[in-house]
Amino acid sequence: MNTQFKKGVLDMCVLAVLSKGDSYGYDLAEELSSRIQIADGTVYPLLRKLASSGEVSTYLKESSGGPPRKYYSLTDKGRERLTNDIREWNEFTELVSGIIGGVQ
Amino acid sequence: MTKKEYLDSLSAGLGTMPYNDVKEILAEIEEHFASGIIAGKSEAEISESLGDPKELAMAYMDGNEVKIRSALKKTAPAPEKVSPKYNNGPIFVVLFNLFLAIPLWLVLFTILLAGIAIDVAVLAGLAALVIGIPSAGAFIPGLIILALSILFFAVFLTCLLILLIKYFFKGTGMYINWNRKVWNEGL
Repeated sequence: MNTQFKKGVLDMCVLAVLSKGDSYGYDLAEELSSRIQIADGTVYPLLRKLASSGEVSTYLKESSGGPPRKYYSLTDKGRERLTNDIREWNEFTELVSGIIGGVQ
Repeated sequence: MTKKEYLDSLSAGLGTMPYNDVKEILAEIEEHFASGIIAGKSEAEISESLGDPKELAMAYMDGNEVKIRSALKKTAPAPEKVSPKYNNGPIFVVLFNLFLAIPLWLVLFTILLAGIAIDVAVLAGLAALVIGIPSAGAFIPGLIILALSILFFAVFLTCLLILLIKYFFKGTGMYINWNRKVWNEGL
């Protein structure tokens, strides 16, 4: 798939996965890479960026049989951003569909 | 690629980043390896699915790390700058000018005009004196000294006036700019 397409929507996808519940890096990476073809590593710089802009927050939680894991949680700001992104995405895909509709 | 090789390569790619950031990033990727191993994967498999460590390093660098670092340190969101809804600038400028600045400016301007008038009068007096000197007979040496004294005084006064006029207009310009600023932005 076109990497430029993926680049623009990965933030939104990460936020969307987190909107269903807190998660840790490995889990997020697996969840996303199982659906869209991306390298697992891609989510980590994104998470760091989202944490710095206050759209996700982090906390440490004990894991069974291992060191504590860093969990990511959607903040109110992140939820707001996600709602906005989804709305814009829907508008955008509708417009693009209108343009490319009928083209083989 | 083993975990160690992967982390070394990533670390090398993060070269210019501050040590604390590199440490955080490496800890996170190391945690990813740990989770993968718990899930039954080999280090090589995990490295493979993580993607090229050099590219990962670049993605981290793209995120403008300096900004990210300072934001991560500062957990509380910066308070939004409150812009005053009511701008008290124009009313202040009008009142200040009406009651203080304009009268003061007029006084200074009048003083300057008076200074110029005095200077002109002194120069005229000097000219009259110089014209009168040749017919003064015995008083010529005294009058020459008097004329020279007046000349020095006139030159001094003229220089002083030129300076004052210069600063007067400069100051007026600065004052107008300050007014404009207060008008637009308030006090």
